[in-house]
Amino acid sequence: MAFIKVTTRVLLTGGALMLALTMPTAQGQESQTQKRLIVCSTTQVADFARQVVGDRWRVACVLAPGQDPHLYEVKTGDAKLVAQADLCLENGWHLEGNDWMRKLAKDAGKPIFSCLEGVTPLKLTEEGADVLDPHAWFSPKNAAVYVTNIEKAVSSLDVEHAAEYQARTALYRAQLRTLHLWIVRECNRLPIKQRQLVTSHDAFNYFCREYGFTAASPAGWSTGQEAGGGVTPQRRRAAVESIRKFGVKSIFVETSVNPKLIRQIAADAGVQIGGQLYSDSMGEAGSAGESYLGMMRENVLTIVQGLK
Amino acid sequence: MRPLLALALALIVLGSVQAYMSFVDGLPKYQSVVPVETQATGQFRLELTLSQDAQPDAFEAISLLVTLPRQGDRVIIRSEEVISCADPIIIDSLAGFVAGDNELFIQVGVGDVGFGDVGSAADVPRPAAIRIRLYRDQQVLVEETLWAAPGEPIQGKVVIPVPESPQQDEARDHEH
Repeated sequence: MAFIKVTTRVLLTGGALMLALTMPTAQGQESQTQKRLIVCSTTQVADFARQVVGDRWRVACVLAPGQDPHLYEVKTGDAKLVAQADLCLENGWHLEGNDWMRKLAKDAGKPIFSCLEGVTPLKLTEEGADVLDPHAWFSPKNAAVYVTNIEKAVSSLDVEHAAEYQARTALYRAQLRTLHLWIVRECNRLPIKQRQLVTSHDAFNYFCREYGFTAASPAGWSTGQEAGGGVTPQRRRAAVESIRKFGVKSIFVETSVNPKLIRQIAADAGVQIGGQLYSDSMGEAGSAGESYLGMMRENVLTIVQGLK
Repeated sequence: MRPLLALALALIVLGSVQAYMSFVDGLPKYQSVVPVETQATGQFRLELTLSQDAQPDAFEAISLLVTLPRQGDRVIIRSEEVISCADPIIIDSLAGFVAGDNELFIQVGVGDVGFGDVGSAADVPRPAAIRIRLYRDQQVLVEETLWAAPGEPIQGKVVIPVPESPQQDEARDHEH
């Protein structure tokens, strides 16, 4: 009898203790499921979004590191993810092949913003087709526009915390300025005549314009089959001629594009592969290129080292 | 016997807690002292001299910003236009200074830095500077220069100790 009483007391005390420990602790902390969700198309846009919203929103990305936005085919899980979103963000200007992100958002009835609002585009004329080069993030000045657009989109949906988003955006823009100045100093170590950048596809025009490089690539602005995109014999020939004419030391592969073609061109032109660049996608978590700042830093170091 | 013992123990514990709470309630309460700010007397004039034109850049729309951080970050000047360095910027009858330490926060944009060729003049942008002079009743109260790293905007705080009256300014000056 005494044993039953003691056991009962112990169980009741223990149960009360467990209940106290498992009850929600700090009030005011939002649980993960209560936070609003931003779904982004590309890894760069997702990184920018995280810089703006901090821990106040969840940020998800449809593309995984290393995936090509031009060629991406939507999966069932993507529609489910977008269905949970409070806000969708895309790069825009058809970087997302066939506008897959916009279609996902529209089908789910979710608001979608393009990060390119207000960016001055580079116009490409390829085989009679005029296209806007969507790879604008390769200039940190344009990246500043991206984060400003994201801040405006988020603040419009969460006015209460607008000042907080603006403060983070101001800090990140200062970091982008520091990055830009660093890139200027690094690239200025290369004579302009040596600044010939040959890559797998025509993604680096904004970078080239900003830092005094000339771009050449065997594939157009898109790795897909859109007008002006893809590999053509003329582009391949022009890339090889450019390498020989300017005595280019190195050409570069990209993390999100099949390196086979660029390796063939390197062999044809008798040049080395200078390294791998992050282009349409950032790096895996834990890699040097897992963030936009890291991606740009590593790209510049690889390019300058490869062309010196 | 045991229930009586348990009851006695409970009374002792509860009694001790009650006694402690009474003791704490009886202690003198902490009086927080709110410092009383005295407005500084006199006519204040701010003079800013730029080493190069103030202009916004791609990362920040502001060319010139001057605020008083300790007065709720009150804005004295905020511009998004290009401001020539040819003439000093003068702000007369500046109000808001208190007796004691004040602060001015200053931010000056230097425009965009572009690329250059190796060894060219564009290779290394000049560091920018701004000289800040604060006058009280036409006497220089504070003079300081803020510098920036090459290509970076100028950003910094100037601490301005303001005696309560201009007579105290003179007394301080005569001590030097």
